[in-house]
Amino acid sequence: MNDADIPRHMAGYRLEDFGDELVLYHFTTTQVVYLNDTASLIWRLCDGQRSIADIKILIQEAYPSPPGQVEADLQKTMAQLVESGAIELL
Amino acid sequence: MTDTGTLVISFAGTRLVIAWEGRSAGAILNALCLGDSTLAPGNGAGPHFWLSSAQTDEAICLHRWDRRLYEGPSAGVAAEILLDCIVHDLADGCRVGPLFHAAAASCGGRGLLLPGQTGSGKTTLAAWLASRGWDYLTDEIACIEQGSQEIQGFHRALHLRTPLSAPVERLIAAAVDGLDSACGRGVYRSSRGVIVPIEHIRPNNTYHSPEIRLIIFPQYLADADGDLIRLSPAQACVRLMGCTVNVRNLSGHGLDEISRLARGTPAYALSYGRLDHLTEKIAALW
Repeated sequence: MNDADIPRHMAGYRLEDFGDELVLYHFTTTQVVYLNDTASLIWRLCDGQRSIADIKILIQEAYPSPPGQVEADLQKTMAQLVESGAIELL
Repeated sequence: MTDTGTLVISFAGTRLVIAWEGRSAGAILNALCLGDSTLAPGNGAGPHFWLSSAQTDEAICLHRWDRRLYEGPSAGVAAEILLDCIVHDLADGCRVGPLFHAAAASCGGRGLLLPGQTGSGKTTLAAWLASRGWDYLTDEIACIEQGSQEIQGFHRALHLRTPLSAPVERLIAAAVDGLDSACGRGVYRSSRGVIVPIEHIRPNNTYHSPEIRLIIFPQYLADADGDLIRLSPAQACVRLMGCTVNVRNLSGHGLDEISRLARGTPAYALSYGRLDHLTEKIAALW
């Protein structure tokens, strides 16, 4: 995973919106994915247009944090989203 | 007691027929206390299950359609296999709403749903609550029909998996010693567990379909303190989806209905290792 990667939503998931949190459900695999408030925000930003670097800037502006913290949290969340099958990297 | 008959189980829009023959077979079915069932003499046509016992050596034989599931001397093993297969077939046929792998109990006319996988401790918790005055509704599957708030528990004897916790062993031991014949239903043991009619624990148990008031996802952990952690509706939705056994039978896989339940019902996760004080903790949420 690097900053130039462009994440986008994986096809086949239905979204159930609980406000700050999201639930994704895949009808073929019956997999359910829970996204807390941070993961939900990041998932919503993964529109197939923005790169990880773009998303990092947006998150930093919205949630000012100590240097390196945003990058670490973002990397962790993105890895979880990829592992759960909710997003793919282009 | 007659030596042959047919048991018709009706639950959540599904109907199963069990034909039986032999005193031991009839005693097993009587002990299992199955669902909204009618036990009638005479052979029915086209049963899903056929349970028979020989008059001489008391060998038990269980068939599902034309496939033999068990033949041997253990009534406890035959009873366990039959219970598992009945639940599987009910789940396969249920289309009226989400069918949850869950125990359920009721207090003051309001329902508590206890969803969880095998081994999560939901049967132990249901048995404990029944011993403390709650009505036992089911220990395995419960349906909430689309658009409804009512918990329909599948009525059956408790199936407690071994090893049993010490408090539950004492509960069962006391019941077996004193009441084995009081309700006319036996207790069956196998290597996997023990099947106990609810009357042994709560003689005046009342089956009904209360409106759901609370959801608790139990998990037995030996050293846990019994903490109740509030779940968000999204977290509850995810957990309920994981405990729904008939998703592919439902429109939209039941996501709308389950989401509705999760949004409208308080939900908690419970890790417990001991049973004392649990009733009070749960009652505090009531």
